[in-house]
Amino acid sequence: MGASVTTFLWRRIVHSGITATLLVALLVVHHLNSVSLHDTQFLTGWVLVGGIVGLACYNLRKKVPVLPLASAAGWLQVHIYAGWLTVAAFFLHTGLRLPRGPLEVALWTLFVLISLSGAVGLTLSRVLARRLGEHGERPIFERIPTLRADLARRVEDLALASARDTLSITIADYYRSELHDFFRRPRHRLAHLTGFRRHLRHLLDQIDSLNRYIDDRNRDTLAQIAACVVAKDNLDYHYALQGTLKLWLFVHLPLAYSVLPVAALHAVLAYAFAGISP
Amino acid sequence: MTESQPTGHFKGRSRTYDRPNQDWLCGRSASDPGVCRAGPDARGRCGAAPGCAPRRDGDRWQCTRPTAAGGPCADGPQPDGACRHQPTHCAPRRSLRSWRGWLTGIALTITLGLLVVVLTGSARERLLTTGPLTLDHGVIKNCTGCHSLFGQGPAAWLNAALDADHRHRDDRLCLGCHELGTTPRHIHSRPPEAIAAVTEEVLDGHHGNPNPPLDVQLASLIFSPPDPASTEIGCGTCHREHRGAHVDIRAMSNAACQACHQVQFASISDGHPPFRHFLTARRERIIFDHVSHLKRHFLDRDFRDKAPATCVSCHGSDPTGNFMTTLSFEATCAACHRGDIGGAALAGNKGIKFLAIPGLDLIELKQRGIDIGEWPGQSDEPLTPFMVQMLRHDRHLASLLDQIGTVDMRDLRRATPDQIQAVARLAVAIKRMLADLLTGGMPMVETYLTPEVEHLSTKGSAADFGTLFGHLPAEVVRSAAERWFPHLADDLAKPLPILPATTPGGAAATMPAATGAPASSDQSDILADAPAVPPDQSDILADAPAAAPDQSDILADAPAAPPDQSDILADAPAAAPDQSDILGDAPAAPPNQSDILGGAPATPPDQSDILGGAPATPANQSDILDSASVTPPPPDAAPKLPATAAMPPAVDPERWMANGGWYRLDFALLYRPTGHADSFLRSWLEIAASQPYGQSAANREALFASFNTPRSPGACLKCHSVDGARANNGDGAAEDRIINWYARRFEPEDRGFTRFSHIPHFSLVSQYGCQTCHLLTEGAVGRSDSGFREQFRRLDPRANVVTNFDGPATRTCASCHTAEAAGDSCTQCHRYHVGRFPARSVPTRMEVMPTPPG
Repeated sequence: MGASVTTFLWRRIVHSGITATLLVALLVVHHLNSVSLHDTQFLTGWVLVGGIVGLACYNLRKKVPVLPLASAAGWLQVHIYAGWLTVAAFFLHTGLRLPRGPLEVALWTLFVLISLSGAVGLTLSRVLARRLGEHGERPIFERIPTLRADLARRVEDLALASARDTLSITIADYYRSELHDFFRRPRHRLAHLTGFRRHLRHLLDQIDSLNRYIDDRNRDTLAQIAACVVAKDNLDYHYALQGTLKLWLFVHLPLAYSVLPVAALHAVLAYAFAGISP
Repeated sequence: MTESQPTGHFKGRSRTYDRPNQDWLCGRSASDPGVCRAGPDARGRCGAAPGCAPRRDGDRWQCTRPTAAGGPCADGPQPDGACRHQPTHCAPRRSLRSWRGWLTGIALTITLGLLVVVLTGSARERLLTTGPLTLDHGVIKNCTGCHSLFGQGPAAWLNAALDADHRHRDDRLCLGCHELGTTPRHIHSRPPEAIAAVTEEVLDGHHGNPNPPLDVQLASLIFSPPDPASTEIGCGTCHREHRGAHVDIRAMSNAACQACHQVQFASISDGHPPFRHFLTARRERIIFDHVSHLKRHFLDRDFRDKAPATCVSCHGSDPTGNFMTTLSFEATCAACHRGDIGGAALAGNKGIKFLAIPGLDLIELKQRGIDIGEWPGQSDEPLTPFMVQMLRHDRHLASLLDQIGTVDMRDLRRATPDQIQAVARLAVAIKRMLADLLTGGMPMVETYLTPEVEHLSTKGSAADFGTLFGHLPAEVVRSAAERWFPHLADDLAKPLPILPATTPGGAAATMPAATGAPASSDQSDILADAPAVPPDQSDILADAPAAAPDQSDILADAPAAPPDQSDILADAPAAAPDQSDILGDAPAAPPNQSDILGGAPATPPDQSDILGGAPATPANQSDILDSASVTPPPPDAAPKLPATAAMPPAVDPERWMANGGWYRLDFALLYRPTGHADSFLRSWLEIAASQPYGQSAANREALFASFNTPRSPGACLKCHSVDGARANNGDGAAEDRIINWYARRFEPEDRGFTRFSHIPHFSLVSQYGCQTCHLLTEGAVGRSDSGFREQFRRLDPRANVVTNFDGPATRTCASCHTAEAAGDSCTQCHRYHVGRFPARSVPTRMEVMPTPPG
């Protein structure tokens, strides 16, 4: 464990150092470019174009896993740090000024949203992944609906068997009134994202309070139901967090592809009408 | 651990693989345990199949379900061989990955669609603009006003983007409104050679660190540095539009300036070169030695009361408040120097000789057997440069002058026969020029000065023939002609003098004799001999045939009867004086030596006529302008004034014309300047200073020299310096000498590298006033070797400049101009676009226009 932390820290230091070095190099070249009376926006513009295309290649790399193009994890690291470098180039390009033209406003907004969604995704992948690893059984996201259905069917069978075998409807009533909806669909998504677990304690307290009204055979059934409730809550937890980890890409990727044609048009207009040599 | 979990989803073999990386997933409900192992295909079709493909074994069918699927089923296949477990087909559903790709495709499609709408729609200009224009450019309503290709659509834009040569083409649209000279996109809008010269000059005198900073060196290695000889800088390089209505697009950073300026410094207080060019780049245009005036002349008791009290007695700001000008001559110098122009202090002639009858060696001419007719033998005047200038416009006369060359016409003993012949014909030409003046006045002699007038008009001068002749009065010419050539008409009626084939003695005996023009000679030769027969009627000076007197010959002798009344200059007959000839000579009167326009007479002067040679007749005394008899007024009709004869001029003609004008002195007509900015002197000086446009370079030099001596009347060049044209404009070809008629003036069309506004700084000067910045050079006081006056002998106004002032020190400016106080940016004091940029005019046709809309 300690060794992996050291490796992670060292990797972060190395990658951050490389990024910082490239950023300093960009600033120096930017200054030299301005000193030689060139329009630095063409320089930073091309850096931006290169950065955006390079970042988009990460997605292409994932689509073509068979090619020997290094590991996806390595690409992710490049993607993350190149993203920060591209953001710096963006600020150099815009001069920290807000755009005024509609097309430039669109381009600026798209890039800012891409950057923000990327930063949010990076944060989520750091925070939520750690929480997922620390939270019980780790099901595959696509299997969670099936597992949830299995649990629901199992609890329903236990409730029916209790009523049939012991002629007591206490558990069956409780299942109908409280647990049926709980097992029918994912619940408490916001509570899981924020880490609150009050809902689970509330359910388990209810189940515990039923023990005084049932005999020993039903207590055993009730214990199995309580275990299923905990398992279902764990599935909901993973469903909420894994779903969120997948959801930010629904913002990041469409914006990333949408910015390409707008940037291309911006470049054509700049070269055609800026009236200056790069 | 996982085995104990209620979900038990890690039980491996009992579960199927869900293929989340595929676009389609099995569509069976989550509660349905029968998720098929095959799953949907790539197009989203259900891939469910029977549990197995039964194998026939003899007459029985065997189940082949694999062990992973539960092994062979207990029921076995149906009798017909079909599997008993037929699948239930589902509607496959998209995976999250597929949904993400679909959403990305939709977003991309929408983006492209919007771009197509933007590029082809009517709101294209509004949507593609990169921001509002500045207020000044806000009147440009459409993009094509500055971007010529914008209206041609995206394909043209793409072509333009890929065409490097296109990028500066739209600069011409900028230059359509902004006049920046002939090289607007070169560095500083100046020709490369001019920039190279300035660069060399600046670097030569720079005492700072000549090594460029590290970043400049690196930049020159990585990026191509601007080359002054070839680099063209587009307008957009520095002026970025579309950044808002109130943005100053002329603002430039110091770094932008120092992109080219390799000798860099931090600010005006830190490394700025001294202002050595401020006063020494060019000498002053008006030769005024401040030091000698302030330290010597103004302290003289004779001039002390006339000395200016303060600097603003002679200098004032122009209307813009930027420039300090020198006030007019009357306001500054006239108090002491007005008399210098009139020649009051000159020992010799106070006027300039314009027309003169040159002295000729009449004895030698006679010995050579040539008769030039009447000629004042006492004259020893040289031919004036003015006369040479005028005579040379006739090519035959020019050739005569060339033949004469440097021969002294007053001593022709060593002259060749050709030169003798040329002198004789020149003498006739001078008589004819005089006759032209007498008979035709100014219109007749305009041909003598037409090239001069045309040349002056090309230089913007308003000088005309009247100016160049000094508005010479006819009476002055007539009076002079009578003195010099009493029988001018008779002389001119004679054939041209011809050198005989053999002359009595002298070198001419061995020289080929000059011959007269043949009968078929060129009629355009105004000096050619008139043919014997037939007479050329066009020759107004030729002898008129006796049988048919030519009435057009206004100088010919009038026939005895009847007198030609049209000849206003012909001698009036004694019997019947022509009353219409108001300028005609009074008959039979000897030349009146008392004429104040004439020279001092040898005989006791008759001082009864101050203008003309009037006879001592009672009638003549009644009219000072007309020598003809006019009835005197009755004695009681006029106040009793002293008789004109009793008012002899008490001064000589030169003093009589002390305030300027024409007068005659012996055998010359002289012009005395009328005051400052005399148009006659100024016009002739302009001609003398001009680069020869004919073939009279030597005479033009002589003409210029006649103005450029300490004794020259008018003393124009005592104060007005003369520049060589090449040195003056810096980059032009050698042209004229330029006479600086004015002190340096503010020319709004001239934009120099440095700008300074005086008025805002007046409140900041110390008790030293103007000398807070303009310090007098104390070391030059009273020293003859200061070189101040000597510098004006050179034509180059920028060579070895000696100034009366030390320039202001950079520390003086830097005391206020800091980043925190008055500012210290480069463009606060320096301009980028340098040159002469005339303001645009509005080309409005002179016709009635329809009412403009709105």
